[in-house]
Amino acid sequence: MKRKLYLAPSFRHTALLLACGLPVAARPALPALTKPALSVAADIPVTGRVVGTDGKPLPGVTVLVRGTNLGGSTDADGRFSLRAPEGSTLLFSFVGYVAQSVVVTSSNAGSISVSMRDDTQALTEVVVVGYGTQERGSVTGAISSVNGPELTRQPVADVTQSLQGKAAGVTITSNGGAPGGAAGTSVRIRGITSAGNNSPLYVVDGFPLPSPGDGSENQLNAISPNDIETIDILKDASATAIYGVRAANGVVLITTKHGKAGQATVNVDGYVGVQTVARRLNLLNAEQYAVINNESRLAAGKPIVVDRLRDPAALGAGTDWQDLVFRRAQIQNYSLGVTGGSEKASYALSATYFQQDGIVVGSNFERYTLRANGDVKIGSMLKVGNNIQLTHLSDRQVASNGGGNGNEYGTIQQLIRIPATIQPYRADGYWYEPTGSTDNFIEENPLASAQRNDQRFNRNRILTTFYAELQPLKGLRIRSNVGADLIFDNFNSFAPSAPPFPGVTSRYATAGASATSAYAPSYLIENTATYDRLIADKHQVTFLLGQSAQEFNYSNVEAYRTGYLRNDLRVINAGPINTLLANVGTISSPQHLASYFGRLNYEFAGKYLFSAVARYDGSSVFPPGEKFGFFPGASVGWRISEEPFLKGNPTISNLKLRAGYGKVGNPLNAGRFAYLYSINFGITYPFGPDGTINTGGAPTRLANANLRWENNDQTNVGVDVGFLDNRIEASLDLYNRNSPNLIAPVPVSYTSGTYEPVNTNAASAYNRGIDFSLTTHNFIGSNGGFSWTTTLNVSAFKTQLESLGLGVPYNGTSTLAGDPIVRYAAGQPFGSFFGYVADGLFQTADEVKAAPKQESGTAPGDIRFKDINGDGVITAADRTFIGKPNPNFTFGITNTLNYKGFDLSFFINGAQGNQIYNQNRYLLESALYGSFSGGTIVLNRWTGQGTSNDVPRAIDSDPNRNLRVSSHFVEDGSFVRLKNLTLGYTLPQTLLSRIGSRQVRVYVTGQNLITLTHYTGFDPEVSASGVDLGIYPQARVFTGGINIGF
Amino acid sequence: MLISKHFGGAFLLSLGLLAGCTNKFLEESPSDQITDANFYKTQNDAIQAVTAAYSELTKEGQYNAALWAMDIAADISTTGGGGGSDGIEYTQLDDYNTPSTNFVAQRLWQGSFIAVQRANIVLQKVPLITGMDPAIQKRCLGEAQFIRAKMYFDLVRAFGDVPLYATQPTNLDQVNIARSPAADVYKQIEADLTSAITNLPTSYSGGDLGRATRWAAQGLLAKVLLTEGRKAEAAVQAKAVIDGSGKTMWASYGDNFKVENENNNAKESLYEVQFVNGRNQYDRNSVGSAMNQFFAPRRGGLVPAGDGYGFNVPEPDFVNGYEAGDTRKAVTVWVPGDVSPNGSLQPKSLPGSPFGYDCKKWFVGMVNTNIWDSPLNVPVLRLAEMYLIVAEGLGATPDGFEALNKVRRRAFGVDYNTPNAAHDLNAGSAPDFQAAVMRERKYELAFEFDRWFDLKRTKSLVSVMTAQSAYLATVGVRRGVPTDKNYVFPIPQTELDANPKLVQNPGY
Repeated sequence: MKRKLYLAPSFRHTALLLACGLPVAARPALPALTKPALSVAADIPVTGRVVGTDGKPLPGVTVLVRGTNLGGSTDADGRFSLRAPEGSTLLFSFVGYVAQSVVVTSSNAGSISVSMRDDTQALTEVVVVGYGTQERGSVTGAISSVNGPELTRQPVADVTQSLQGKAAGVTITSNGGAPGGAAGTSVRIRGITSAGNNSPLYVVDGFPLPSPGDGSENQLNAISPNDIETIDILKDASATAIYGVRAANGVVLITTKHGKAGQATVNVDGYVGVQTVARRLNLLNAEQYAVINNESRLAAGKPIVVDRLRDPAALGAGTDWQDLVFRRAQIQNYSLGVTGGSEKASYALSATYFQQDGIVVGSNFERYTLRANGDVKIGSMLKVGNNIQLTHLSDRQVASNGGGNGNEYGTIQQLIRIPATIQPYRADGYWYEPTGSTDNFIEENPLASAQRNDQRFNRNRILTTFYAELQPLKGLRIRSNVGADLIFDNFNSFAPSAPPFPGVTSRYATAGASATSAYAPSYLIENTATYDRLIADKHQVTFLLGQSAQEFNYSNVEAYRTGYLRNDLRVINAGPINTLLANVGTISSPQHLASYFGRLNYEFAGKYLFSAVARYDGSSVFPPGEKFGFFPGASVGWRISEEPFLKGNPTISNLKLRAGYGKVGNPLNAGRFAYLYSINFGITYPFGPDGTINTGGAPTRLANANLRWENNDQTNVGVDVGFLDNRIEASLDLYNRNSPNLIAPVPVSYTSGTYEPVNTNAASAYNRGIDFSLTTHNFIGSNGGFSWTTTLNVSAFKTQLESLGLGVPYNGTSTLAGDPIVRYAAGQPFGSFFGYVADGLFQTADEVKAAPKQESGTAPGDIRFKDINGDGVITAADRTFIGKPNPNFTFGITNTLNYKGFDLSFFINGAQGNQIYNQNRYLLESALYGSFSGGTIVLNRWTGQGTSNDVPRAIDSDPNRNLRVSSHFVEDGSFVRLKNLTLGYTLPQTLLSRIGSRQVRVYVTGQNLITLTHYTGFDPEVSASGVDLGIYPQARVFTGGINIGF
Repeated sequence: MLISKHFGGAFLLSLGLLAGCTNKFLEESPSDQITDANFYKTQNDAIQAVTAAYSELTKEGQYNAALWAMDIAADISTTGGGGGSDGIEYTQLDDYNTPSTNFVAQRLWQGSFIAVQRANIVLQKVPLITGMDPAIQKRCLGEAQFIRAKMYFDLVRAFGDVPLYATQPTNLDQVNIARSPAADVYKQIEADLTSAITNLPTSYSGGDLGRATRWAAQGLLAKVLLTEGRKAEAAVQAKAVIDGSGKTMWASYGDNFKVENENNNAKESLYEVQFVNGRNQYDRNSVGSAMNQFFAPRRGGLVPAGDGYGFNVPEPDFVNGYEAGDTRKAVTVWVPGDVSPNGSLQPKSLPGSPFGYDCKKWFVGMVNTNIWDSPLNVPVLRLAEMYLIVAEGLGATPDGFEALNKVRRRAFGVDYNTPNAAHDLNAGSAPDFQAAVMRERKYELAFEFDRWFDLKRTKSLVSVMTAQSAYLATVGVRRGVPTDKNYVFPIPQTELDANPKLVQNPGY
């Protein structure tokens, strides 16, 4: 069969190289290489002035004669004077600026004028490491940082989507294109270590967010990307160990914008855009559907029962359901921020409004955020401050099978299955309801399933920390943090009844309402003391000691009523009094985490670096005697470029080796109080004349008194290099992560009378991988000249479940029919697909006869399944591992070009070597077997010997079970995508000064512009599980925006 | 410096305090959960433990999916439904091509064992509860014995040898045991039912209606003995129920399957599974019956969710085999031309039902919900079956014929205690008495999930279904041909995976 054209790997590789840019071709301007000054040359007086980019004097710039200790620094006017030999080179350096060098000649010695350029890398100089910061040069762990425009360039609600492809070792997969990022993203730092929770710990301004227990990972869609200053991602255990038991999946530290001393700045950002579905499927039209359906019925010896299908040619194209379900949708974002401050106080205030309509009718998302960060100095030693954020978000989702186990009623699935012969609306404009007798289809109209329910999820979230910091003596800082994260959720839904219509008995005869509200507060108290001291000019020591206590709570109440007689009063209390109610809810007992931690950093002469961290964590959810865990980490670094033989070398401007080891934990998969043998009261049975529901109680899980959190230990070695004054910078990290006591839900025989698997620390696994990042400044143009920077990240890892210990292989995600797709077994990567191996189609009856026996109805045109165990018959024992969802590597390339006022950036990302279990194809091919419609792929079906070896014959009821879980539905999930293209123009200063503005930039962006892939579903990004059960398709987005600064 | 001293002191103090408090801070017991340490202490706990044992009856493992197969796997019905993989769990049984992952086998095993162990907990814990009303304590034990017997009876018939647990296992070593011989399982079932007969009351009132009675236990014992081939003993037990219970058959067969007639102490039902509706959940593991939805004709407007799903479609010879005047036909099946409550007519054919037949016995029609669940109870044992057991046990004797004819007379709508020449069978009209009883059971108990068990216990599954398959082929209905392996279901694959001591049934 023919598939879509795609670029051959070699071509793709070339394209990748081209996109990266070739730094060598860019011929960087080397700094003037001069011979060291000869000591015989006479010193002459040298004076001059140093200014910044804005032309203002720069005080405090270090001026040094190369190869000597001679030098000084600039005064308040940026002036300096010293004596230096003629012909020597002066080095000018200042934090945040690119170092400059000037050769002293007799003619310039009297008035050397130097203009320092901002170092674009300077923003990453300081790295947030958890309970403190560190200079990038001193970092010995594996830490990636993303900041500035990278976070706001893409029109997305959830900042984790902007991180995709921006940090090596961080694999981010969108779970679907629902508006507001509501489907969430799968964030995997350095592979997968667990069959359960693999999400990192998020820490916002020092507050560790509670981890979602339910697997939903849209943790950050309550935060406006506009408010974020930097994101630092701690990847290896020597860095993450400071967060102990929660750090096994890495730690994402988010720092919001704070004010700086100086003039107040006002920033107004806004964009508006339009979204369309990035890719459509080719679905059968009415005539094609009728032909296939009739053929399949006749093949099975069944009569055609629906009259209108008898003459396919008369049906024409019919309804294009994709036209009706997908739409052009709006997206917009407006943000207003004010920052400023003085020596005594600083502030940052912002307000953001984000709104996105979904490309599937009925879905939309809206978010308001307010933020106020500030601090004030009281006296000379005390500083107090706060970060506070208020979010309101409101979300109307349509069921789309975003993940988890199959939901057969999703709009996207119905869209694929509903025949084009069916009309979308009835005469009164209400949604038409298909019936078996007239339409051969009894599922819901997808337009109704998307739109009928009046449902809305609202979340209000307050995230705040208050702190006081005392500096009683030089180098000592004592800090107390008190914080709270209050999440208020409610979900209201009303399913109205259909208006009466002659001849229709509606399935929507009864109206009902439901309401859920949930409250999840978490509180934090932290005290830390940090001592910083430089001893004897060479020994830099930083010592941190701290304590943290955090509490997590959850409660909810749920109610519903049915039998509403009218559709206008849509609340619970307006329902009929005597109708059935459900009142469900829980108040979980609080969970507590008590922790002590410390860190020692030692640096000798800026060359030899050492860091040790340790955390002692106690959790209330574990059994007595097993509550506490100790999580240590240590790392060392050697800045070779600071050694005399390399120092000042312009070719190798940076060279650092790093190595570290640490041990961290993951408590989530153990579950709350899972060690207890608890009684389940959700068991009911009716008694009495009215069927009164009696509540029963019984254990539903065996106890495991030894249950502990999962552990992880990780070794990391890395090298950071910079060439040509850091015009080329690269970082390479290798890691080996072992997970020796993973929790495997050991499936229990139902003969135990219980059915919940017993969580047991039974399994072990490893992740080994490489993170590579490269930044090249291909062109550096000052004063509006052409500049071009390329950043490349590549992440590759291999993950394998080594042993299941006491456990036996167990199943994960399953199909809509409940057959397992994902299976966890020793020797296999996490999340591997498990099923039969499809080996083409039977072409002749002789082939069927000669092959191992499949089903009694197997015939030519059916899939030939492989007899893996060679027993001559195809049974469940012939299932094997047929694919894995984890890519061999993922990558992201960002190119940023500037010329005059113009800026252009394009971002390409991709994944290579992963497979997708394409349940869409199951739906598309279901057209062959009976009631449903499907994709035009079935037009290439087998109709006789040699006609197809891929798409089976049409036969009602699928006697060969061609639809079973098999490699037939496994597809290559590799893709390369032009994710984002942005073109901006910044108005020149001359114009700005006239309108009293500091900066004005206008831009246009395109998102998800081109995707190259073999994959035949809507989109190759189908969440980290790799199982596409009909996800909400990604949108292609075009936006235009403006940034204005005052 | 002063501030700093105070602050630093406070800081250190708070560290110390927190360290001291840590142990208390981490002492948590779940406030929203109860553990076995604080359960099984009161009468209320005992009753709740018993309720949990009953609860599997309304779920997929029993009357909300798995047991439906017992007519589909026999010569009464085929899967029907929407085609494709719709109802694959039943088409596999239709085809006698049942993989070890088959849903029916799996759920029957799961649900039955869950109930067995919940009954075991009751039998272990309830005798230890002090301060309980002794009558209720006795009743609880009887109910648990009844449930355990009922579940083991289903298990041993469907799977053959099964693991036998006298107490609830609490760790994996105790869980993972080998299968016990079927004979031992039957011994346990008989012992349980014999005890239950003495422990259970003869009837209930009010909020306890629907619990197992002495007559339920004794009726089940009759059926167990019949299954074991101990027909004479079975007849004794069945007769004891007929004579002792004071119950009578409904004059009209259809009255057995009406919501308003449920739990009538004076009437025919000996034990019925309790369903209620209005929970508004698409859930076959709750308390609503899904049969109204799943078996209703596959056309619009008959049931709350729109179209019925049209499963469990009667086979043509079964429908045509009703004698003229048999009132059970109109109660049991839909045939073309039948008028539905909304006035529409059953058509000549429907998707999945080429002859326009559908199962009607569990049809309730529109109920106050917009989804599946219906409130119609399922009678597990009826007095009519007791008569049929008496008949089978006594054989072609006058009393045997009388018992059989009682059931027949009621079927034809005449007084069942008055001989009726038109419908009564005798040695002349029914030379093969056993065949006559089996035929009567087929029609009397159709869609009450008994037929496969009847074919099994009479060792006629392979011969009957081979012939049936050949016949169906002539009318264009495809179904498989069984072999001896089909006398039992496969042990579920997940169970073989979890318990290495289990060995699969031969042929699977």
